[in-house]
Amino acid sequence: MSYILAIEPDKILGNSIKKYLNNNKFDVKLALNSQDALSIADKNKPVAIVLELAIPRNNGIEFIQEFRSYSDWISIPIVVYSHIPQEDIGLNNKEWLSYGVHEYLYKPTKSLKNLTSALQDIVKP
Amino acid sequence: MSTDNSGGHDGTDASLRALAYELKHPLIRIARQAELNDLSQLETIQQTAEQALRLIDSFILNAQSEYGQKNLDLSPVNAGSILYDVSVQLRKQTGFENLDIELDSRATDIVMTHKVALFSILDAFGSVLVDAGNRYLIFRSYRMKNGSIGVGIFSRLNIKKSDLDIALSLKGKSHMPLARFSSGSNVSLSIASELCKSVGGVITVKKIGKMSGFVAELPRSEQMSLV
Repeated sequence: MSYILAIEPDKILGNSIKKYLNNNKFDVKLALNSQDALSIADKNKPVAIVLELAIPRNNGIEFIQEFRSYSDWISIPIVVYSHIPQEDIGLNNKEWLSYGVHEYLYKPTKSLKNLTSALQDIVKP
Repeated sequence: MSTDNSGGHDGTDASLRALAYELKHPLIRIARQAELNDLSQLETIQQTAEQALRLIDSFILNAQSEYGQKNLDLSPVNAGSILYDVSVQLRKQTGFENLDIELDSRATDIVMTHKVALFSILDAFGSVLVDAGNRYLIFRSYRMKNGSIGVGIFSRLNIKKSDLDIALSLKGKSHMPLARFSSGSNVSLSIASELCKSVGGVITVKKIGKMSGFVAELPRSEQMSLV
């Protein structure tokens, strides 16, 4: 079963993301933190990751580094959907690409529709 | 606000900035939930909006008190009933089905304090602990040795006193956590601290066994027992 793994610590927002993507024919599994995400991915490899960078007891960049350290998951595309402005992270486009981040969407200005479009560019529902 | 803030801005500027960061979360929630175009989401949207409004209210209340535009009127308050009200509110706003809240009211005296301030203080404690990923909270009121009333929220998290000091200073952004136990800017905790001071109290971190949490101690001088 192909699915998108959404890592979103805010459960209410996570459910909104899941519901919207479900309505657009994407299957979604939610993880509230990085440990849950790794455990879910370990059971069944996702086709893409939607990631909030501000996750409890960890941060998104550390998660990406750990996630990419497993050879099985190197090619899984990541879409960052975060409330942190991209310029605050201090990485340039080349560095984002090296992490396999296909798109960086800033939550306050990018809607779930934008997120869906980004995912449609990467994977087929 | 009396909180020290570096960088050449006064306290109000700093807390306003932190407040704006803190408000980003509920407003994002509202905007994205509205995008679902699903009437069943209305209740959740309303609760989220109320959460944001309470944060703004706390800020205004604190600023008014700080600058003398408003005196915080004392009123008869039952600490136990406030704990119950906050626990119900917190459960609603978190949306976590597995949030386990235990009420343990050891002091049920009616005391004179500021009801809205006390509610805001407890609400801030709970929000900080839940934001930190905790799903188990104990709401407790008790009478301290010196006769003061203590009201607080405890969790399974291990909070260090040094973390609290950092948390109470407004120097960070919501995405640059000030303390390991919270992912936010802690503006709500800072407002709670100032509100607590304004009713003559003090906020501390207490440890009970493996439990850690916040306690607002309301001094005896501010309490006129009605019983």
